[in-house]
Amino acid sequence: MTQAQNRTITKLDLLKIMHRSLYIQAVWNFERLQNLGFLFTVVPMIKRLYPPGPARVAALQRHLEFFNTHPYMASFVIGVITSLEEKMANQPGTVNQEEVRSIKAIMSGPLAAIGDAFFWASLRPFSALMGIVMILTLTGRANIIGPLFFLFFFNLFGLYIRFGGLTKGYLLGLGVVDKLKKFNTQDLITVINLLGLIGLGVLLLLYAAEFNLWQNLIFFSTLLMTYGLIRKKVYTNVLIYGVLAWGVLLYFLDCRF
Amino acid sequence: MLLTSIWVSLVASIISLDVTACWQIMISRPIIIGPLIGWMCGDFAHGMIIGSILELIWINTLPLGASIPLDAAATTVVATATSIFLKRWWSGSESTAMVLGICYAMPLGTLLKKMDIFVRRFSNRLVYYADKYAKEDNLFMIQTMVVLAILLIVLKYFLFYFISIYLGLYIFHLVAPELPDALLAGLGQARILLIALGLAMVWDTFRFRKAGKEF
Repeated sequence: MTQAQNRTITKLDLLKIMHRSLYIQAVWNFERLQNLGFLFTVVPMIKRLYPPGPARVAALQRHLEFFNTHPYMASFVIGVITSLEEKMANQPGTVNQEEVRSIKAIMSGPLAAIGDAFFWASLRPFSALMGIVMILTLTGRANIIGPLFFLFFFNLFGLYIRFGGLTKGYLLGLGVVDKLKKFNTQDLITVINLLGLIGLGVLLLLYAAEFNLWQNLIFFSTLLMTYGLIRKKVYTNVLIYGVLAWGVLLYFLDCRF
Repeated sequence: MLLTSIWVSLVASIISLDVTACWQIMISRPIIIGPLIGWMCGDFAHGMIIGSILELIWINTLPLGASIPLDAAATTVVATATSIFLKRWWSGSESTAMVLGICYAMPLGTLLKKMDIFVRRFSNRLVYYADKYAKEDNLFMIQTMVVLAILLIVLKYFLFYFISIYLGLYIFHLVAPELPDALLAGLGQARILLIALGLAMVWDTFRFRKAGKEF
């Protein structure tokens, strides 16, 4: 058995890992998805824990295996794995390779589901909608606040989860899973969706106020029609060209708005 | 225009890394990249309008790694740049120029998808090399593979943007003066209908859905 060494991850290592985690999808490939991105992210950890030799080769190969999750939520896995690897390097026998492998696999599925539902399907559309409401209500150059709001508001949560998740994952190890269980994303998503619908209402009012009766009639009937088609899962490209053709047709029917 | 096209393509291709490859801090969303490219081409407000319309329409596209997502950024960049260039010499209305830009940019997304599949296949090869370097304990070369992948993505986008924008200018020069006025006026008024479609997308995004617990 190898002698117990003392190799600990420093704060600087964690910062380096955080920065590298922004590139986790850079080598996305059809075969093992985010595998090389994950390895690239944890290189500072591997450098710190393993001197060149067979143990390092094993670590490199271990982290080249299939990996896929939401790019933000991946930070929790990265943090947990960093803490497990640290244990494995310093106290041989406490954690084995198989555990590291299976924990990566077990955590990534549910985290991907949370990340997709919360960040991609809920928070980002909501932030964008708020940005667009601002663009429409602010006049002149001031409307640049809209896009900027979108960037800052969304990334406030995004970067907090990415950097905070990594730190929490490292400090708490597997304990972070219990924390995640307690955190109820579903309620949060429901609230955001409700606010999103309110935002939509505001946008509709803003447009309705600008149009005359005739324009409103065409605008809202098109909205209802396209909504029905979206629910029927018609492709977006088809809808865009369809709507343009509809506009031209209305013009030829002498319906100008 | 050549110089502006190169400059715009270069900046847009680096920002497009944000779509799936790097950072993902949303600088590649239409609402950000639209005004930015508009500003670079000399018309900030024009880019802001195209960006907002396309952001609404593609408000819920998922940038998932596994499926190759529609590149909202690419459509926004090409539509904004070509329509601003068109507007400079053309007598048609601003709305029509925007709609023509969008009409031209959309089918190009399919071309970009093909290029994307090629890049992702090539990434498989980079991963094989990384396997080999892992066996040799060569950290430097493993990381070089990542850098190569990023450079390849930038190159892909640069070629796509430059060709699309330049070809677009050429096509518009040929086609735009020949289009019948009624068609152009119809397309111009259809811009409002694109917003209606966008709001229908927003409605669909936020409608009440039931979902289970993940952990």
